[in-house]
Amino acid sequence: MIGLIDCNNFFVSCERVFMPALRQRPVVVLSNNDGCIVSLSSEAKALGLKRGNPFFQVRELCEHNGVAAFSGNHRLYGDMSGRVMATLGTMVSDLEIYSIDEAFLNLDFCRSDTLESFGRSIVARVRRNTGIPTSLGIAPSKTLAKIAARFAKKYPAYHAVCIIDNEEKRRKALQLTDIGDVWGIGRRLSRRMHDVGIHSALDLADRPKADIERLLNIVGERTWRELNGEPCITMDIVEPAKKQMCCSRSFAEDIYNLDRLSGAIAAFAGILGRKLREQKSVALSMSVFIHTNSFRSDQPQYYGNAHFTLDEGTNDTIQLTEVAVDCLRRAYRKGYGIKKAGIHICEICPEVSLQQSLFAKEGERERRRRLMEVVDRINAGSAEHDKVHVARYSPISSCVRNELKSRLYSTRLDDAIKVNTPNNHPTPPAK
Amino acid sequence: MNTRIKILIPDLSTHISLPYADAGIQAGFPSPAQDYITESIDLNREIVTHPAATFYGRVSGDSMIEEGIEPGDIIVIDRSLEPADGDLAVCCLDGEFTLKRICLRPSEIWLQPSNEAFDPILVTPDNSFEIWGVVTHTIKNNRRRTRY
Repeated sequence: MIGLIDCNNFFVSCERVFMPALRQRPVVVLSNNDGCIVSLSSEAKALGLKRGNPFFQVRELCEHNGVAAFSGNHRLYGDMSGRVMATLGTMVSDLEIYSIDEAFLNLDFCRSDTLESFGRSIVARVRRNTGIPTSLGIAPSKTLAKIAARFAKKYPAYHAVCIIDNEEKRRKALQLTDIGDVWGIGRRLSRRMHDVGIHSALDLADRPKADIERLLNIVGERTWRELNGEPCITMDIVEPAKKQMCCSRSFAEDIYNLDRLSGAIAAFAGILGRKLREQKSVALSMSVFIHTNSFRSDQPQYYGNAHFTLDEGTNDTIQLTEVAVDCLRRAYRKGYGIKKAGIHICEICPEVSLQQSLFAKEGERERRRRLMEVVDRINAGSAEHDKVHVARYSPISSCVRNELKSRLYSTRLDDAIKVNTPNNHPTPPAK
Repeated sequence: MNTRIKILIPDLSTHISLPYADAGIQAGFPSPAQDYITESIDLNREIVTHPAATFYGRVSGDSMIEEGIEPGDIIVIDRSLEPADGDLAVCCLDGEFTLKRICLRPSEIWLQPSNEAFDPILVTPDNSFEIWGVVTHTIKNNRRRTRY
């Protein structure tokens, strides 16, 4: 089974962790330059506020109803996201970070009769460790898990965990899900479906396969199979979620070396740069995260996270790489075996709406753009060309003999000198 | 003044190392300590056992003064720990952070200050209350002010 864990109203929840006075109040978080609402609490939704509302239009309503409004604090959200993902990593070894506030979990190792209690313990642990409330959907495919997570969040009776594990539940859930709310069905596709009489997710799932091939593209067919309980969407073909992108990998071996990590991070920056250019958008800020293997309780644990806000948006691989490696240097600390690393692009906007900073040189930008075009053309030939297979890194072996060493006074706390602090002052030595 | 907490997000990305290198400088002959010169004590590693769940707080107010927790001290809070009777904990009481010892009785929770001038607080169903995290360490700057 596959789980999708989704942080509830993530940005708002982050703010609430550190300001308990906000728990009962309506809260909204605004986009860049306080433009529009990007995250809102259920109390704010109850006031009729919606994601995407331009703030100036609803400011009066907010002030009148005591709504707490915040500008986005993406460094905080990136850090909290890293904590959520690292906590998930202590419970599930195979997880795929899908966006800043969502991750798919491979739950195949879990017996079906314990799924529900295990799911609840995941939600409780994330809540305990980070303060962030989450919803968990569990189902045989990613598309169904997404639907289950929506139910888990929407209906309090589920207590944050909804499992679709039999035919009856699957049909019921699909029947209640609008086709436009199905993962991977965009607005255009959804309109086309309505034209041919497909209104609910169940309408689509119940169409015969021949219909699907005639009506839909390959993405649509995959969605159809997923809705019928056949998992076929792997992480590599997932479209970017919302306004963020993430590229991360678990390494075959723990990495203790900054240069090797830099290589991996540079490769991620390359992949993200290409994705950004493909969809004609630019990154406005990014976080780099690294963490140790949380299953190795015998080893010191660390997770690092560093954030960078760009003066102006970019999709230039060279600049993205520079920024990412700089973030990595800040997040990195020597002596920890890094098991997983990734880049999370926190804010994306379309290339056309790009605002130039005062200092941008147009000629330089144009040259870089043409360079990137060439890079993309070369890479287009082979899909995997610019992807670094981090598994090829070989471990560093070290063999140190310790027999004749004195205590490591200055490098191990357990070996530090013992200092007595007697209750009485010692008597001065006799003359 | 009651003891209030300002929560800080730890930035674990930097560290100050105390290098170990006692071999002196020997011209022409490589020091056997060379390989270990970058080893150092890393207090993050010693103090932060659950990094994803650890937050720092800075103390203000003097309700815990009798156990040596003073305004300006930094506290290390590990949210992953299950709160136990007698733990020092950061609590959210009616929307505010407060630092107290928690006394978990079978049917009631008391918040115990360490200052004669303060009374213990009984948490009632009317309070909004949550134990935010268990405090594992207190870090003080002993040069911060003149004593006595």
